[in-house]
Amino acid sequence: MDTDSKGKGLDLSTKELKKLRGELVVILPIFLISLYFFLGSFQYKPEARDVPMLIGLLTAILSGMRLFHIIFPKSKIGEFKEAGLAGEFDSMKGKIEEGVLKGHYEEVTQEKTFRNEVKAFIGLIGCFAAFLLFGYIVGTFFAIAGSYYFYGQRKIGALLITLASMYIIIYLLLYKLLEAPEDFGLMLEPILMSLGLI
Amino acid sequence: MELFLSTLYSLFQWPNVAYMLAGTIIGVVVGVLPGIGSVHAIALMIPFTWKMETNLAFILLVSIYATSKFGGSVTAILFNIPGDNPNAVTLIDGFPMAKQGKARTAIAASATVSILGGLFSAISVLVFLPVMYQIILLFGPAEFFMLALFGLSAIAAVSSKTIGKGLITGGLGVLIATIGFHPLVGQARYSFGTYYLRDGVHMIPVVLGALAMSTAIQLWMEKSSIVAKGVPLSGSVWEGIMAVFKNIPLFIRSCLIAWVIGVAPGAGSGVAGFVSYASAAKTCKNPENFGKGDIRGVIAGDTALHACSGGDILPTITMGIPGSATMAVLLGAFALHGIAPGPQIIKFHLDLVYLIVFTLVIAHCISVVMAVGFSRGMEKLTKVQAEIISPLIIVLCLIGSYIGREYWQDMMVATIFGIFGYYLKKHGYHPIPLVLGIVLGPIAENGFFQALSFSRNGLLVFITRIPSLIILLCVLAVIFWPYIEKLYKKPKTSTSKV
Repeated sequence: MDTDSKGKGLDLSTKELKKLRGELVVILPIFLISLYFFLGSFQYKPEARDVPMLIGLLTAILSGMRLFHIIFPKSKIGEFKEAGLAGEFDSMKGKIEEGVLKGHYEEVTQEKTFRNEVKAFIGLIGCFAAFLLFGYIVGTFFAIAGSYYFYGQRKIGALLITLASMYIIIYLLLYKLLEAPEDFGLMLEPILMSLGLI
Repeated sequence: MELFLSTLYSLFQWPNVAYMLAGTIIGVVVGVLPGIGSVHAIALMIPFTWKMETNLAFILLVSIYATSKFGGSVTAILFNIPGDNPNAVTLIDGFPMAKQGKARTAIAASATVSILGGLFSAISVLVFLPVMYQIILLFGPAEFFMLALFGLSAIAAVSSKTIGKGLITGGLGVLIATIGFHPLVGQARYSFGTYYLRDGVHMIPVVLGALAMSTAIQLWMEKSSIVAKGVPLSGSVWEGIMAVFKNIPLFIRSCLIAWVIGVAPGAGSGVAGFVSYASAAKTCKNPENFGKGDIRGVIAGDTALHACSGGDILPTITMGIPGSATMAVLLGAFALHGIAPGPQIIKFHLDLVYLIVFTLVIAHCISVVMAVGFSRGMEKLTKVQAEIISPLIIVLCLIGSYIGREYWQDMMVATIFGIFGYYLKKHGYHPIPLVLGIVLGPIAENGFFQALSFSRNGLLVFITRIPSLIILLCVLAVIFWPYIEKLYKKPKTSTSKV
């Protein structure tokens, strides 16, 4: 029993540590960016440098404290346990929610694995690439159809309905009615221009 | 009075009424779709309102805000699926009622409190507007700088579980806002010599990326396709409506709780609904019936969802301090249309304030008719899979970030902030302070310089003016709240030990 609980405790702390280390993805860029803003502000005129200098310094200190806590998890510096007013509201809501929703409703969600994350990011970057190369009018087709197939959907009917409703919004509403700018992307535009189509 | 009536009349004229209907349809659909709420819908719609007339843009946006909650309540009652997070409070008693054959009764009660709650919100804004106007007339540039600071610190303190994390993301937002030409000095900051960065990082791609795209990524990963079986639509509508009037004290108490929570920066309808429900369950007779299909549970929760709108909107339009996450995004819409919240909006755009208030009430009424009428069709919407919703959100985000300035780099910024926003949420950092930092950063910077240029005492201007000093104390109180609370609580524990 004892060993079990000890094992569990160790396991939990390892998990927590892993979660804390994962935060580096967020905090390290923020720390470096804020440090850059602070140090970079010295090159500007006094009126232009005050805000980035002050806010850069404060953000660098706070994110630096958090970074310190991630590197040395036993340290209390940068632990940021203090919940503000919202924290109180949140925990109040959380407690009530936990109490009253028990047995009423449970969200069914998949576990967020690194593989899932990478897949989603590839999907997102793919959509961006489609827009960059073909512009939003044509790129929408590639973005929707591509990500639809990328996620293993094979129902043509649903895809056609989605594409049709999207083109009503984009082409009729946005392009024709709201006079959004014409755009065919970095790759398609020169081709269409050379063919004399636009 | 003339302006008041003419604004009301104008709402029923073409094309205003069409925009309100469009906003209501979008709001109800968004309310029903699992995983996305009014914050995302408004963020997605803001770029499309860029070229619209200001009044039309706000009719559309406020309609979405006002109506998204009721659609979610109907799906919570009928299918046990809260359309948006705050609607979870409705299903606690709503779904058991539906299972007992009282689905219509629950929906009728929810619809009645939706309309009455919306009306309460509107009246509360109209009543407190003159009071707020008198207060903000005392404000100068120093106070506006302090208000922006207060908005930032308050939202950082309330939208994150820890103040430190909120302040970090808020600070990052302000720093991003400093990129580009300084308006007074004319010097380009942090531009790396590129034309794109000289113009500054625009608010829209950051808002779309950090809020909407990150949600799309989350949905993709969770694949939360919810398949539910609905319950038959039975029960008495009249009974539901009468139940609200029989429980008027409960309704009023829920309205007041929601209003106070609504005014508190950052705490929106989700918190209001649960706090009001808990208060009802504690104070009403036969509390054991709550959670088993008690109509008072539906009334308490749903009243708070709708009645907090007034408390949300009031500080947003009068002071630029957002009452909730959705209001933080709406502040971005104000900035985009060149309207600075505060005395200017009341002095020069009072018609817009009235328009927002009337839209709040009328859109509530339309949404009720729409959601009740098409409640069966909503079942199909709840089954829409994440694989379909996510690409649509991403496509709208990319288009929205491009059409404003026609820079492809804006789409890249949205994509980067989409990924970054996902990681922020994953590690307990809310992206709202980041967005607010970008919106309020320039306001704070301008206020800071104007205050200094008018001041003979330099930085002392921020503490020698009484209103500025009061707001500064509020900023400090919000940031150091946990420590103040500890000081306040310590003597109590020592006496209890003795």
